[in-house]
Amino acid sequence: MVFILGVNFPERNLLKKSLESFFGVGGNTSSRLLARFNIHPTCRVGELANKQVLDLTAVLSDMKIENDLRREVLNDIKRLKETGTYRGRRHALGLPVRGQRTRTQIKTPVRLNRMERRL
Amino acid sequence: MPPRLNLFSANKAVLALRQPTVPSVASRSIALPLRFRAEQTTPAQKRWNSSKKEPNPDEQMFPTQDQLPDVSEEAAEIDRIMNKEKSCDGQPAHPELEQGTPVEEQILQRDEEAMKHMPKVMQQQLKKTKGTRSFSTSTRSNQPGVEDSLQADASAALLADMIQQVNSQALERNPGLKFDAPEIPTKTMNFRKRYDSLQEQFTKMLMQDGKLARAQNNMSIILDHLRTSSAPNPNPRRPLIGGPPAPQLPLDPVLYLTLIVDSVAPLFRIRQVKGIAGGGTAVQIPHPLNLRQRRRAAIKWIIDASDKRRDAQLAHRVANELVSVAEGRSGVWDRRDGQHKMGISGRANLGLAPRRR
Amino acid sequence: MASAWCWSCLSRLRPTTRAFAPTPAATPRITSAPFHSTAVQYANPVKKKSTLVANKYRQGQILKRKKKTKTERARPPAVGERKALRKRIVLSNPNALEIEGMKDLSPETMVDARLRGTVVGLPVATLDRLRAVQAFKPKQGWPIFRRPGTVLRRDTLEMGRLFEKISGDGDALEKGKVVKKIITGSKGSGKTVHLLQAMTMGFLKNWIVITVPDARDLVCGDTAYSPIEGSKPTQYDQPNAVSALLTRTVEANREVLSSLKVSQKHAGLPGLKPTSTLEDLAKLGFQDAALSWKVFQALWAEFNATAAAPGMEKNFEARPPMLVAVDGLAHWMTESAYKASDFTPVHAHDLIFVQHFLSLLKGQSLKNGGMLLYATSTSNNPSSYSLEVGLNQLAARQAGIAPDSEEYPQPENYSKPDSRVLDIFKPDTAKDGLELQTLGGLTRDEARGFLEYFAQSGLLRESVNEEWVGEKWTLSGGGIIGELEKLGRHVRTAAPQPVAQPVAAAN
Repeated sequence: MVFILGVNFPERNLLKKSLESFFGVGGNTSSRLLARFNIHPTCRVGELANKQVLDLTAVLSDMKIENDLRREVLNDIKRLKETGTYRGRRHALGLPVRGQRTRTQIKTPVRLNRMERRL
Repeated sequence: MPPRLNLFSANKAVLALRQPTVPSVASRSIALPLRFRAEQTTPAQKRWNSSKKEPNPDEQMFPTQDQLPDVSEEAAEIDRIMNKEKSCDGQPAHPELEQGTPVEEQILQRDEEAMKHMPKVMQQQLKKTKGTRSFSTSTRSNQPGVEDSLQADASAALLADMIQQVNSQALERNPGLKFDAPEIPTKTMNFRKRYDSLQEQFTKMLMQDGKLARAQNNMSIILDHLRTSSAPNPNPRRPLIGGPPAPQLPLDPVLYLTLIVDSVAPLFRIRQVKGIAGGGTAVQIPHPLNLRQRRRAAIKWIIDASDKRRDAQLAHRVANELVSVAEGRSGVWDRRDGQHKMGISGRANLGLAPRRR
Repeated sequence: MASAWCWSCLSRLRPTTRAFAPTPAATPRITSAPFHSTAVQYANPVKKKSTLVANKYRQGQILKRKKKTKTERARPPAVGERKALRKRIVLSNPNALEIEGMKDLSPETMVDARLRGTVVGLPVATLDRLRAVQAFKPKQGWPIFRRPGTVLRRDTLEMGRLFEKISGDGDALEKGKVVKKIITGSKGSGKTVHLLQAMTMGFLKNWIVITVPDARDLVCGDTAYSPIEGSKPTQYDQPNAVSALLTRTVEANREVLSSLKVSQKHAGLPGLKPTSTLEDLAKLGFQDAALSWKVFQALWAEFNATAAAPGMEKNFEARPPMLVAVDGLAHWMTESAYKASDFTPVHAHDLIFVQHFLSLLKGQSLKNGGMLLYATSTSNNPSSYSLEVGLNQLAARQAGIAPDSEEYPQPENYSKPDSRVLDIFKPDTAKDGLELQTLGGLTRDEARGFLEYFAQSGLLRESVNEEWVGEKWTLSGGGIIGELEKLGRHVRTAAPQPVAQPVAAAN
């Protein structure tokens, strides 16, 4: 088990997938992170040297991820609602925000767009 | 191969040693002027299962069913295989079986030991033909180049006459054709299948989601598994039907597979017929299956049984199940026995069944 | 009086808020979609649904079917089990028939032109070493025969003669020559097996054999990499791959390496004594992956040593020739899957391991003589335009076309060829130039010998005669050996099939 940013990962997990488990780290960000520290793409968590773990943790802790990012997104939506914009209203109504059709296929906004958006 | 009683047989009988199976081009060139065939090597070790044509499943025979033919018959058979076409006068082109075969032709030529001890008369005859003779008195040369010079001979003129006669006869029978009409292959001969019929049926049943190439790949893994795994140790109560002894089976995986499937194939299925016994109960009536249907049932059972195995790959599961069927351990045997038991008890109901059109 | 609202307007009315909506009793409740223009009361009565079920909110009707019950398997196969099964190499089939009088590949048979077209067995003593250098690949049809064998084709015999010359058995003039070959050929033409034959001959002649069984392993991003400090442009080291290479080399060449002693001083390798053998030297590398590149360099210098450093002459023995075999060259001619720290892709030539082996193609690279065999591959192969052009240029030079003539192949305009790749195929000034060897099909006689091998092993049940071989030779695209192998193992017809007998009816 290896601790990266306070989270425990099993050793045989892929490092790239493990990094992507953080909110705000996707495929691109994780690839760039690996490249920055010269870690090969199929590296397992267990193969990391201690220094690399520390480096990764240091970089991740500087990034806006997890709860900070969540808070920011929610604040943005809240601001939209409070200023009475159309987008804010769509968020509140549980409807698509960016001009999609509503005749079919709006299951995702129905599920996620609430007063407090699900993230 | 010319017929025995053709134009030259009188002269040729003197020639002690003739090629019985591989006709020399020279001797053929006059009797069968219209045909030329590339010289073939004799299929000396023709295997019993190497026939190209796939037999109709309903007319199949066991390999041990027919006995070895005698020498003449064998020669005739080889000749028929080698030289399928008939001679121009429609006679079958093989040694006449009624007349038997000269002993020197069939036996002595193959057996050098016997050649040493053969009767003196024959030995002398043999020597005579090899001896140098003045050219003009020799009966006939095998060399095609020399034949032209013989045309002047009276006998040669007679021969040419006879040849013409035969040719004109052939022309009479096939009006408008210079040569014999080509033999039109039957439909089945044109349509040569890549795989054995059972192998194909098994492959198609292995197929999932219409992915035939993957199924074929799996089939080849299965066949390789049968080929490389140790020979089955058959259960005497549940033997494989027919075929060679068990230790030879892995060398012919398709035959092995065929034997396994045919051994557990049920003879009938059970139809549940409602409304003939009254009271809404279904009556079980056995219904005969044809070969393909029987095999389908067996293959389905085998694949179903293989699902319970724990190997990682589908092909390995099926292959292991096949081996366990061959060794009589599989549940497929019980399944078939159960089916047959039901069928036997259901025979009484056959009279009840409405006659089918 | 007629209402001011028409039906269509009514239906467009949406029940927005409770306050404005009329009571349900007063007006017929309209639940149709806003685009619908027909009132509800005219609609047909709702049909009873059988299998078609309206599912959930805003979901279409779906047909519900019984799901196929899945049988429970106890556990999925263990980690790595599937891969192990895929990579497993079986070299023997106890069911296949033993072939009487089959000869082994040996220093005598590998140059014997009379044996051309026959299949010779790989000597049992070399099998373990061949496994160690990963000469066998899983899908080459080894598992169906009694013992691994390989057909002696023209190219094999020529190679055998080269081995003899370089070893100095024939005339001493050729001793210590370096032969550099790039082996190409269509799919299934036996390139990898050609390398295997070379390795076997190398073992038989007591050469040092160094192999890269799959060039892809170094560039697909599966092993660790680290930049080398101070290199410009940045080069990358792959410690685990080098360590694996050292392991392979030691396992395969233990006999040779343990008999040779260190002849120079190597800086930065503290564990090394003046009396250590080359095996000890190599072992330093795979005990500590971080040191591996340094160890490999030291080992390479030892292999190429022609004389000992002053003061260390007493243990010096002449080094044997070397065989370097690489399979799948095209992977080294593109960008690798690795990324530099600024997220630009790393070119394969920037990997120091790759660079080392490619640099051997230039100049007098093997001091003690030997052979470089770099084979291309046609399966799982990246397309590299520059490599294609380079090989064409090489072929043209071999055909006698001067590099400054018009017919000399050049990359097309605007095709952006990789100049680093093209550099490899530039004309070399050294006397041992690069050669291109294209493997084609077997001749008919060789094909016959190969197919007879199947028949003698009991796998093929046909009478192998001229006509039949000719047919198969044509079917295999002119004797492409991989296709011939498929035809040989393919069981087309079975024996007369027994019918399911009614024996069981009596049970």
